[in-house]
Amino acid sequence: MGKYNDKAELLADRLDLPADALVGSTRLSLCGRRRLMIENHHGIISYGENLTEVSCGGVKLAVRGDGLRIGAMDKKDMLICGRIISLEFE
Amino acid sequence: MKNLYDLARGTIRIEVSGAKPERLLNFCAENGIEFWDTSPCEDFAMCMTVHASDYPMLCEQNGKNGCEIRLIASRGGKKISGAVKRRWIFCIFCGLCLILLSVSSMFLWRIDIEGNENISDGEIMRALSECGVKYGAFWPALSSEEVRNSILMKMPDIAWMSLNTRNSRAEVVIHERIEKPEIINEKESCDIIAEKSGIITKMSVLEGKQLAYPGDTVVKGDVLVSSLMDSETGDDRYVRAMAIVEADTWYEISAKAPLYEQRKAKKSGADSDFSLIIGKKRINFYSDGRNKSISCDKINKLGYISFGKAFVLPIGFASQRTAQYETETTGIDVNEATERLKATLTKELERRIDGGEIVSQNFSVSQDEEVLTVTLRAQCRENIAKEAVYD
Repeated sequence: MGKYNDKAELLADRLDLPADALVGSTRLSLCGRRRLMIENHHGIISYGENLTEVSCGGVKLAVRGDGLRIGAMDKKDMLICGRIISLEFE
Repeated sequence: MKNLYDLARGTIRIEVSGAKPERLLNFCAENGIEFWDTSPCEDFAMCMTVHASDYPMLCEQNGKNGCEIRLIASRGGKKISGAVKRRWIFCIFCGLCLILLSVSSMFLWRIDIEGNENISDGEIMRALSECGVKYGAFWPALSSEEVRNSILMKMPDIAWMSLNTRNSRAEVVIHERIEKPEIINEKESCDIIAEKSGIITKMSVLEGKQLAYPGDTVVKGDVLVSSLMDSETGDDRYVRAMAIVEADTWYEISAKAPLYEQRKAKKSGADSDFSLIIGKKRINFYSDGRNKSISCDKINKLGYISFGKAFVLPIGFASQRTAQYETETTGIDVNEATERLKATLTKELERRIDGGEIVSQNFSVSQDEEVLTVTLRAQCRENIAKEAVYD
């Protein structure tokens, strides 16, 4: 799945197309530093006030911060609120 | 609104503990279970809130995926409906009250009038009543513009008014008409006479024939500037005399105060009477409202049941407290009374000279057995010119 996504993203790059339209890859929207909207997520891996890990298909997104909490969540979208310090892909 | 909706549906606060409590979040997201207020409680535990209707589905997950679910608190939903079922009479009463309140808010139960100084509230209320703005009136049927036009026609002393109705309260803002200044007919001939007796110190004649000069002593009513002018053609010529005549004037004003006065000594008794006011009706819970004693204080209080300033119910409560007291004769503080009389006399002098200047003043104090007398003697400088129509 991960490799397929990578290739699809590469193809989208070459064709100059938006990657999320082609393969439904994860889209992150950061409003300031207190609200992070994650679309097309694949679930929570771990949840804590200082570190929340979210599965984004082939990669894992680690959100580091203070007082992190899940504002809203459904099958595809998730809103993480709190003081966000960093976003890391692992 | 969202909170009310959640309260009506009922909410459950649960604690999820286990090796991977996040799995329950994923389960909720997968199955469309709404959750909020998620917060990690301890290590390997977190709390979250869900709707009460989703709780059975979550309970099925208890023990699965290594997650333990524990109920912490629940509010709203069935709890409320259970309470309502048990207290149905109370709920019907509350509902009736709400209906009454909403119906009552369509009628005027309070009329506040602002901005009037010379016209009394009573006169305005009478005029408003004739226009349909009265207690118990159905305010949505009132047209602010029509009422305003009608009132302005009825009461020419009002220059402008506005009627604002907010639920059961009407606010009437009045702007009174400012009186026109007296228009001087410059063609009408008149003399300038002395308004007060004094010695003229300065005189500026703008029109007319000067008959008095600085240094002259004049008494009240003396003609200072005549309107009859000499004419080279021999005919009499009348003008409107105009002049500023500054003169030194003297005043002697006295004020008296009794040395002994009646004061409240001690309270001999108190009564409280209560009344219930429903609309225009007043139900007294006492038989005799007259004063029981000659010397008494009467304190009236009136209050209407209201929710804020907007919702006013036509139900009020009036209390009348009558405190009887006895009086005793005591001597006054002479120094304090003297200072008070001096201040009063100075104020009276300033009123009499109307913008003039006080050159010098002194007070003398005398007292007999019963009365304290303070006399003010003052020399002032003021304009004594007064117009008098020529006869």
